[in-house]
Amino acid sequence: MAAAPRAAAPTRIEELRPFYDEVAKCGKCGFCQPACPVYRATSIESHVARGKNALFRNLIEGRTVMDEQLTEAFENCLLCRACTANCFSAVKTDRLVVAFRESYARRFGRPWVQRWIFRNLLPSPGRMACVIRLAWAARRLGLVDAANRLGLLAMINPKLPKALALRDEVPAGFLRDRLRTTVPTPPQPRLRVGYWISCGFNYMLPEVGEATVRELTRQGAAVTVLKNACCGLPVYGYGDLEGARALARRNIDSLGDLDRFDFVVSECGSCSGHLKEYPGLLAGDPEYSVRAARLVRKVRAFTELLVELVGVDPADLQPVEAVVTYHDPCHMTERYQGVVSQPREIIRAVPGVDFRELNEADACCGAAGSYTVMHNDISMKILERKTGNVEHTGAGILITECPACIMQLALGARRRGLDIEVLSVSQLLERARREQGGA
Amino acid sequence: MISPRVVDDLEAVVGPANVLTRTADLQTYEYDAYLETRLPDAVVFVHSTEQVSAVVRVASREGIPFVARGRGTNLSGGVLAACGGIVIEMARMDRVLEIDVPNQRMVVEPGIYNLEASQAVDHLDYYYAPDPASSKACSLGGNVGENAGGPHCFKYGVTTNHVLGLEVVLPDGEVAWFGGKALDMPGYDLTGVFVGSEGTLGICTKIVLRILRKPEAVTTLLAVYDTIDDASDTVSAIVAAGMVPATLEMMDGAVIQAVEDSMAAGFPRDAAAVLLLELDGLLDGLEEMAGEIAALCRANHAREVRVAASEAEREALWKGRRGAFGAVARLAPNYLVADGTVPRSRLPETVRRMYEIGRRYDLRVASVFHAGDGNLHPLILFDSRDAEQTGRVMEASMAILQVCADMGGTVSGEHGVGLEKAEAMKMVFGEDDLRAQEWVKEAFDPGDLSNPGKIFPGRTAGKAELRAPLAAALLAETVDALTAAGGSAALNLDPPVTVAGVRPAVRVRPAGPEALGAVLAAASAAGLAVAPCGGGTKLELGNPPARLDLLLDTTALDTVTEYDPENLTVAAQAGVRVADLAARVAADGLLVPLDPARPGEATVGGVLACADHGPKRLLHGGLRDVVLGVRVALAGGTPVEFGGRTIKNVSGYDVSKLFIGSLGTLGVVTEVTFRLLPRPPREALLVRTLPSLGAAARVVAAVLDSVLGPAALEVVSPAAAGLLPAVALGEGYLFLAGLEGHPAAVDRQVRDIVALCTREAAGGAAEVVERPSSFWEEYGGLRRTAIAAGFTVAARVSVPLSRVWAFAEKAEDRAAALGLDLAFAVAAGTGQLHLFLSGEAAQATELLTALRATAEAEGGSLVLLDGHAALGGAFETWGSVRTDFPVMRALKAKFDPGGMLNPGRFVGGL
Repeated sequence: MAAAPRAAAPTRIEELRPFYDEVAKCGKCGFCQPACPVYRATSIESHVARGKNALFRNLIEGRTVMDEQLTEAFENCLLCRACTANCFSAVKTDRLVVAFRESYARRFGRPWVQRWIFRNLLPSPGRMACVIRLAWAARRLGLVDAANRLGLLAMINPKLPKALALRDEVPAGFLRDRLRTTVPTPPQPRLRVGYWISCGFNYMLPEVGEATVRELTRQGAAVTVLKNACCGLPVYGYGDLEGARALARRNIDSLGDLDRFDFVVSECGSCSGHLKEYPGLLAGDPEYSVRAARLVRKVRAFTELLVELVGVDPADLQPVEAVVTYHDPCHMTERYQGVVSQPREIIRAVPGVDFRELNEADACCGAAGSYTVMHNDISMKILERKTGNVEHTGAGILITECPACIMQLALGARRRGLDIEVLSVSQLLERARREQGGA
Repeated sequence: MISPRVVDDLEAVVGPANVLTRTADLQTYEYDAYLETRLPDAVVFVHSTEQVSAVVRVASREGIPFVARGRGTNLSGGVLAACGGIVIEMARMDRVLEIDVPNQRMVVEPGIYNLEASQAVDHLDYYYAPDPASSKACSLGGNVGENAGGPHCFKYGVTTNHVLGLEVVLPDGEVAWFGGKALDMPGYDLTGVFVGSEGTLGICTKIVLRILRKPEAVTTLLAVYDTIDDASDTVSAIVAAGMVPATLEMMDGAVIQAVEDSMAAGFPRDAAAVLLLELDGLLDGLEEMAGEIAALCRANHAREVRVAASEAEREALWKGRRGAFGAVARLAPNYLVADGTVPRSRLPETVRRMYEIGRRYDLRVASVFHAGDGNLHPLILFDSRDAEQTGRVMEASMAILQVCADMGGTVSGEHGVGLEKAEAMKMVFGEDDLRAQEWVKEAFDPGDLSNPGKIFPGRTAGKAELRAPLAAALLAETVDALTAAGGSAALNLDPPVTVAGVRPAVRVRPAGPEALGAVLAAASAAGLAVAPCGGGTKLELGNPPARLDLLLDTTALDTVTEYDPENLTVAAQAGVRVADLAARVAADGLLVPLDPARPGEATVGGVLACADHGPKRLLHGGLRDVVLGVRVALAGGTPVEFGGRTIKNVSGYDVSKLFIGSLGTLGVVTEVTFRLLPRPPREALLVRTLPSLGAAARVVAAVLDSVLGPAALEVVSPAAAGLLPAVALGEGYLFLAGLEGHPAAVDRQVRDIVALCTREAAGGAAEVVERPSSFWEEYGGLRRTAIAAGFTVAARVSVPLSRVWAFAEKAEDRAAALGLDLAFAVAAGTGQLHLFLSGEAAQATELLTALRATAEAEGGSLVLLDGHAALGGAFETWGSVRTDFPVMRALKAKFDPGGMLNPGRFVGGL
C-alpha cells in the first residue's frame, strides 16, 4: 500500500490537551497487550492502548498529524477497559479514544447515516421502531437478499450486510409491543420496578425481555415499562458526546417522577452500566447531573437486584440438568458496574446446573456495539478465542446479560458448530420454573 | 527512507497488509518501555521462519538494518530501530510447536508470551522457570534476546539456563540450528552466546526450552526490618545455613510506604525493608526449613515474621510485592526501572549510595531488589513531559550503574544494554574486551545489519586490531626462554606427552597469566602451533592436531584469585586443580558445582575447555550454568575478560559460553569465575540392581516425571559395574541415584525411589550409602579404570534423554553381533551415555559409525573421547558438522586468524 502524502505539518491538537496528564502516565510497559482483545487478535501496536496513547500524546505535542491515518488506531477499540484494569498507572485509554473520536468527527464530520441515526432516530423510539420494522420486512420479503446481491446495501453502508447477518430469523414483534399486553401485576406487589427497555432486546431478542419481566413479576414486583429511548451508549462510543448527552437528558426527562419506582432495572448490562455513567457524562450540567445521580441510586442490573433484594430460592426451582457457563459483558465487569458475583450466584442456585467457570470470562466477546459490523474480521477472531474458551468448558448452556453479547456468542457457537444455547439469566430461570410441574 | 521497490519486495514476501509504512503506524513502533524513541522506516509482520529468512534476505541484499521485535516490553531500548530500517514484528509467531514431557522439553515460537508458554504445560504439572516481572506481557523471543531473569533466578537460573536450542535466521538470511533437545552438541555453544545478544546476532524463530516439574510444595515467608543491612544479613545467613530459597525479594522503605498508601498491605510505614522469601521442593523438611529461616530472620533483628499457612495467606504476603509497581506509579506520572547488580554483600552500601544519588539529582528513588542475586531495580520517579528532569533521570541512572561497577558488580542484571547502557559498558569492560566481543558480532553479522547501534559504546571496527599485548621486556624474556636449550623450569624440550597421539616439540609452563600471554605472543609471532594443557587428563580428546609445536602448560596458574563466600562466587586461575578448589570452599560449607573425572589431577581450565561433566550436573547444572566469567589470553597473547562475578549479568555478550568445550581453539583460558552452592545438609547414594535396561528406563522415567528432584541418576551396564568395586551388589544393571538436601527430603527420596524400583523388579539388592563422595570419585574415574582394564575406546553419546535407552540396547546388540566387548554408563537424567569398547579396530569403527548415524538422526551426537590410536586414526572425533558450522568457522577465523590454537583438533577441522 502506498504511503499517502500527509496534508500538513503537525499542529498541537488543543482540545485534547485536557487529557495530557492522563496520557502522560503511560509508561509504555506493554502490560495492556495480553489484556486487549483486539491486540490479541491482530498483534498490531496501534490496536493496543500503548499505541493509542503514544499517538494521542503525539497529537497533543504536535508530533503527529490529525488525519485519516489515525482512524485505524482509534476505531479499533472495544471500550472494554481491559487495558486500564491491567495498567499500573490505570491510564483511562477508553476516555482518550472517545475524546479522539469526538475531536476527529468535529474536524472531518460524520457520515450522514451516522448523524441521522444518532440525532434523529435513536432519540425517538417510535421512528426507530419504524425503521427496524422496515428492515425486518425487507428481510422477510427477500428484499435484503436481493439488495445484497445487487450490492445496494453495501452502497448505503459497506458493513450493512454483515449487520443483517447477525440474527437469522426475524423476531415476531418488538418487546415494547408485546409487553403492552402481557405485563401482569402481582396482587400484592412488594416493590415497584421501572423496567428499562434495551434496544437490543426490544428489536432483536424480545423473548429475553419477556422472561425478565415475568421473573420480576413472579418476584412480586409491580413492573412499569419505561418509555425510554436508547441509553446513548453507541452514540457515546462514536464520540458524539453531545448526542449522548442529549439522549441522557431525554431519558431522564422521560422517566418522570423517579419516586414512582424503587428501582430502575435492565437485564442489558450495557444499558444499566451506561446509565450508571450518566452523572459523569453530564458532569458539566448542574441540573441534569443531579437528576442523573438520583437516577443512578435506583438503577440496578437485573441480577444485581435479584440478589440484593429478592434472592432466588432453589426450593422454588426445578432442576435444569446442564453444564452451564457464564460470560461477563464488559459493562457488568469490575471495569464498569462490577456486577460479577450476582449472575453466578443465581445460576448456581438453579438445581441440576453444573456451573463451570469460563476461562477469560470477562474478556470482551468482540461484539462491542457496532464493532462487530465495522471490523468484522477482527471481531470474528476475538470471537474465536472466546468460543474456544466456551467449548473448553463443555457447556451446553452459555449465559450472559447483554443482547449484543448474546447475538455475538450465538454466532460464534454456530460458526464453530457447537451445540450450545445462549440464554440470559432470566431465560434460565424461566426454564427452571416452566419445568415446574412437568410443563 | 525505504524505496518503493524494497517495499514491493517485502510485500511480495508477507503480503501488502503485513507491511506498514505510514507515519502514524511507524510512530507506534518507535518506542519500547525505555525512554527514547527511534522511528523505523517500515514494520513487517512475519508468520514463519521462511518469511523471516526472506525478509532478512531483502534487508541484507539492500544493506538495510533490521531489528526483531516481540512485545516491545524492553527496558533498555533494545528493540528500537536505532539506525532506522525495518522492524520485523515476531508477535504473530506465537505457537507452541511441541510439548515433549519425556524429554522435559518444549518447542515454541518466539512471539509467545512467557507466561503462556508456562501455562501450556501447567496441566501436565510442568512449568518454564524464568519468570520476569513482565512474564504476562513479554515474549520468549525477547527473553532470549535479553537473557531475562526474574524472582526465581536465585535457585533456578535465568533464561540461558533453560534455553537449549534455537532455530536462528542469521543476518544473511540463512537458517541455522544451534543446540537442540540433546545436550552438548559438538562445537561452540552458539546457543549460549546468542541468548542475551539482544537481537544483534540474528533472529531466533524456534526455541527449545527446558521445562521443569512443578515443586510439590511452596512455603512463603515475609519479614519486616528496620534497616536494609539487617535484611541483607538475613539473606547471607540463610545461604550460609545451606538453604537455597526459590525467591529472595526485597523492597525498600519508599516502596513500602507507596504500597501502604495505595493498598494497605499491612506493612509498618516506618519499616526500612521487607524481605519476601519462598521455599519450594518436597514437602518433607520444608516446614522445618521455614522454621529455621524464620529463626534466622529474627536472629537478624526482623521485627516481624509472617509465615503463610495457606494459599490465601501466601497470596496476601505477595500482594504488596505484586502491587509495588502500581503503587509507585501513583507517586509520579512516570518511573524508570533501573537495573544493576552487585555482589550481594555490597548491597547495603550500594543502596545508601543510590539514595545519595537520588538526593544529588533531586529525584525520588524507591527500590525493589532480587536480593538473592544482588540485583537492584531502583525506580526513579519523574514526569516525562519535563525534558530537563528526564535528562537528570538518565544521568542518575548512569551514576547508579557506576556505583554498581565500582562495587564489583555489573551494569545490567537482566534488562540488557540496548541503547541505554552502551556507554556504561566501558565501566566494566576494557577496550580489548569490547573488541573481542565485537569479533563475535562480526562473525555472525559482518554487515552490521542485525539491530545495529546496540550494546557497543561506538563500534571500534576499522580501528587497529588489538593493541600490542605486552611489555617488550617480558616478551623478549619469553622468547629467550623458548629458544634456550632447556635448563629452565618453565621449559622442557621433547616432553614425554602426546596430544591425541602427536608429540609436541616443547612444553612451556609459564609462571602466571602475563607470562602465558607472552608465550602466546611469541608463539604467534613465530608461527608456532600451540596446544594448551592443564592436568593432562583429557589430552586424547579431539582429533590429532594438524600441527603441534608447543604444549602450553597452565598448571603454574594455580592461584584462587578472588573468593567471596558470602556472594557464592570464586575465581580461580586455570591451573587450579578441581579438588583443591573444592577443598578450599568446603571449609565454608560450600561446594563448587563441578564433578569431573579425576578431580585431583584435572584443572579448572581443562575441565572448562573440554566441558567435562559429572553425574551431579543433573541438579547442579552444567558448566554453562555455573561459569559466570572467564579471563582469556587471546591467540596473540592479549588478556581479555568476559562475563563478571555476579550471578546475574547481561552486560554484553556471554562470550564465556563460547569457551566452554571449545578445546582451547579460541584462546587460552587463564581464569574462571564460578558460582558456588551451599553444601547440602545431607548427601546420600541409593544403589539398586535392576534386571534389565527396560526396567531401568521405566524407573528413571518415573523418577524424572516426579517431584523428587535427585542430584544424579546413573545406570551402569553389568560389565561396567564390574569395574566399580565399591558398590558390587550383584548381577544386573546398577541403578545409582545421588540424593541431597534436607535430611527429611533425602529420606523421602530414598523411600519413593526404592518403591519405584520394587514396582519394576521385586527383590533386587539395594543399599544406601551416606556421604558418598569417595564413591562418586571412583565413579568419575570409570573411564580410566575401563582403559586400564583393557577397553581401548571411549565415546560419549548425547541424545534426547528418553531416547538413551533404545540407543543403549542397540549398542549392546550391535556390539555382541560384531564380537566387541562393551561396557557403558548412562547419565539417565541428561540423556548421555559413556561407552567403552574393546576388540578389532574395524569392527569397533563399524559400530561407532552406525551408532553415530543413529545419534545424529535423533538430533544428538557421538564424540570419541579416547582411542584414536586403537581405531587406527580412522574415526573422526566429533561427527558431522551442522548448519551452525559456518558461524563457528567465522568465529574461529576472528579469534585465531593464524590457526595457531590446537589446529585441526576441533569440530569440522577447526
